[in-house]
Amino acid sequence: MLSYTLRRAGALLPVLLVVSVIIFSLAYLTPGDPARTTLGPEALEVDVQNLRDSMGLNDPFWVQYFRWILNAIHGDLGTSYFLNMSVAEAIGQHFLPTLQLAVLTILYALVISIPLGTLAARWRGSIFDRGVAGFTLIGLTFPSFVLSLILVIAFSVWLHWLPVAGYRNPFSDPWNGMRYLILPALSLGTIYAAVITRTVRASVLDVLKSEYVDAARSRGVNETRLLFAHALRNAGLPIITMIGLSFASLVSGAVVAESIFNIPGIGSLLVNAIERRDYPVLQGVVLFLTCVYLGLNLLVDLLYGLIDPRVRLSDAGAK
Amino acid sequence: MNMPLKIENLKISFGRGAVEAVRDVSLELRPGEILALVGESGSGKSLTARSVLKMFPEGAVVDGRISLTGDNVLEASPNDLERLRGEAAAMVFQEPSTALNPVFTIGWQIGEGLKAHGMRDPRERRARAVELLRDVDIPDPETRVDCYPHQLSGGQKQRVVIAMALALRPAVIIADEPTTALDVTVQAGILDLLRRCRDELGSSILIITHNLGVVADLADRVAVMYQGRIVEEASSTALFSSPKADYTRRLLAAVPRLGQGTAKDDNTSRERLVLVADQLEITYPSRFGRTPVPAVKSVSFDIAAGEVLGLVGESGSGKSTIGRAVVGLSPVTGGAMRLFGADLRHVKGESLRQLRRRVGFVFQDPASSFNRFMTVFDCIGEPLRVHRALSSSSEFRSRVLELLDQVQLPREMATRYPGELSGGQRQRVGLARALALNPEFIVADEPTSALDVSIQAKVLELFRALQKELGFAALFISHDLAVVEEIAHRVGVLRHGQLLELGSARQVMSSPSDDYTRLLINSVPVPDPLAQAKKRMLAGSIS
Repeated sequence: MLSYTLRRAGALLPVLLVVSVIIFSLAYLTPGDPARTTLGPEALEVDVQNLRDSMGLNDPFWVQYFRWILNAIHGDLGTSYFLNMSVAEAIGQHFLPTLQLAVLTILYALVISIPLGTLAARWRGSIFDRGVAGFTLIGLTFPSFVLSLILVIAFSVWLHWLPVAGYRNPFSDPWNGMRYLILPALSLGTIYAAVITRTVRASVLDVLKSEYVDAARSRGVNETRLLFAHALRNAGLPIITMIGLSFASLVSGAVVAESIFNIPGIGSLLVNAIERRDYPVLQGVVLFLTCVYLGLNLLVDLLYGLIDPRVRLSDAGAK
Repeated sequence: MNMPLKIENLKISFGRGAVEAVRDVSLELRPGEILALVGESGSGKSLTARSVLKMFPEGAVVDGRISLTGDNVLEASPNDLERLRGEAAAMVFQEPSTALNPVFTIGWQIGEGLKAHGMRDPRERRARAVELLRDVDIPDPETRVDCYPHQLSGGQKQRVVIAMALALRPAVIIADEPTTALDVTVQAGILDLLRRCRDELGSSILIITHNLGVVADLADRVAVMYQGRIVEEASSTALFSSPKADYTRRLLAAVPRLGQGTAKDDNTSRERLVLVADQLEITYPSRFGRTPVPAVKSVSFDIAAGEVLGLVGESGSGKSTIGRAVVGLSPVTGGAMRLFGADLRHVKGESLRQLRRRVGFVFQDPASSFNRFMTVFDCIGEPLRVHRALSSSSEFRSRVLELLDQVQLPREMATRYPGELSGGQRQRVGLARALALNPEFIVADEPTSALDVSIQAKVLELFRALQKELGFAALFISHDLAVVEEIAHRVGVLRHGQLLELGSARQVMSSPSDDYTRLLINSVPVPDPLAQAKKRMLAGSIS
């Protein structure tokens, strides 16, 4: 298992390298001069040149790249042109709300999708199965921003149960923190619940057709246990892949929900950075999200190994 | 006498009676008896067997009565059913690698059956699992109990499946083609194990098989099924010596038998060699940091024009690897493989294309070797198209139709899709495709092992006739000695990637010089109960 882990982790390094070069050159090649932007249109050309020198913008591409990547490895992603703080600090501040939202969303999606998908596969073709199919269709096609507005109107405006928008840190204020996160999680999570339900149903169905399920049944194992103890683990690989992908896209793609519910997350940080040509923040956030993405992929790979002994033991030579 | 299993007037149909798969089958299994249910694919034998545990495919409509140790299975409640399954009757499946769940240890899986029948204590379950593994001769059961299925060999996996069936000492064991997926030398051991289950535990066994050698080896009584009906039921000695039903006679006649004097001497002239393997070595690239193990090592043989060389071996012997190397599907990494005089290691691009044009390939499984969205016409014509062999479309068309004639398929088949054909018809299409470019050499990789015996007999006859008529040389790969004996002029025996023996078919089959060849020949059960019993006694007294 250790060598498997190291191998999987090692495979990520080249990816990270290529991505970092792309991130850096994107910002490098984008038209617009950060020095000019910082000083404003009225500034003198001499001052702009001086600032360019002190920012290192006149150095060759590779020099700039290596300076940037070496600093990044040490945790120094530069300083924001606008926020008056280091990029690392900005990411730290904005990542927590996004992470909390993502975790809550995925939990909600899983609580819905795993039982629904498994039971829909168990009772394939039944009314229950058709109901689940209907739910997933609606969940997939209904735009999440429309859903969020409906939820806000229902739970905040009419019922006054939950706040309309905003954010409190659940660690310092658990009760209110959760209240603020529920609506965004519901509106974001429904689409993931639908997607994962479909994956669960399809892969459980696939496993239920296999002979080892029949074989266990022929030994008198009852249907419930067959479903949850035998089949679900085999069906786990595609499900975990789906969960990993969903979670990764949640972390990087919660922009819409964050702006609707006014959550100071990583999405809003990124959007602002783009609007203001805040290159250090832009690069830092994208690099950071890449790392999160790769980290999640690694986690999924490791979970594969945990679930499926053929992955884990394939190089142990135990034959 | 109280019968462990009694099936009365069983009828199973699908699609609201549109397809009658089992028609009015009645069977009795006596205590301590081994009853074989014989038939070809689609005869309804597996359905009948699975109905004993009420395991039907979706959409089956069932009628009749099945009494298992006194309980009526078809009307049992779900709870009763769970009790009967495993306790009154247990099942051994055809393919052990799919009958075991890959993500759980074998100990856990054996334990699941025990747990379902009330054994609560995990330590007790584990101890029982170890004991069962020991009973089925798994070496070192205390360690193996924690193994995952992929860590065991095919034969060991089947032993585990049998151990699971034995777990609760059921009155009836249903074995559905228990040795079909295994090599012959392994098959003998599994058959012995099943016999021991009967002798030592007194279980009655219902064995489903299409292999008459297995029937002769094991069964006391035989029921022959054909198109959903039982056409003959007799004691095994009576059935083999004086079959009554027409179908049984045809079935017995179609079985290829070893040593029937059909083996050929080698009298082809060796002036023109089509294929020469010289110290051939094939090593698949392995993962970084691990020493690659050669799949084929220092194998030398040659095939003369118009000669059929049979390559025999068990799974993993490297026989298919050699066949695939001829057409460049596996890499030649050492020695030389010369096809029409050109060294395959150094031929590339256009000259490789020209070489491939002169070779036809027949794949093992006709079901998966065709693009199912292409008509039979397009499948057969594809090699002609790829090599731009014929200029006009009328020539093209007449060539394809001619090929259909050659493989004795009606011309109307041209517009059908492979999925609409039977296995035998599909393999004829495969043969036609291989012959499309008039090759001088054909590689046939287990071309009949996916087919029923009677169909296999016809396809083999066709192959032999075409070979004689068209005079192509062939590399014929098979695990079935009897088939190779019928087809090949010379035979090579492979094991673990090494060629152990090479000689004329007659010489290899009647006086093999290598021990392994002898073991291989002796492991094949003879479709004759008396001869097989004698052979077993003989083998028993030697060991």
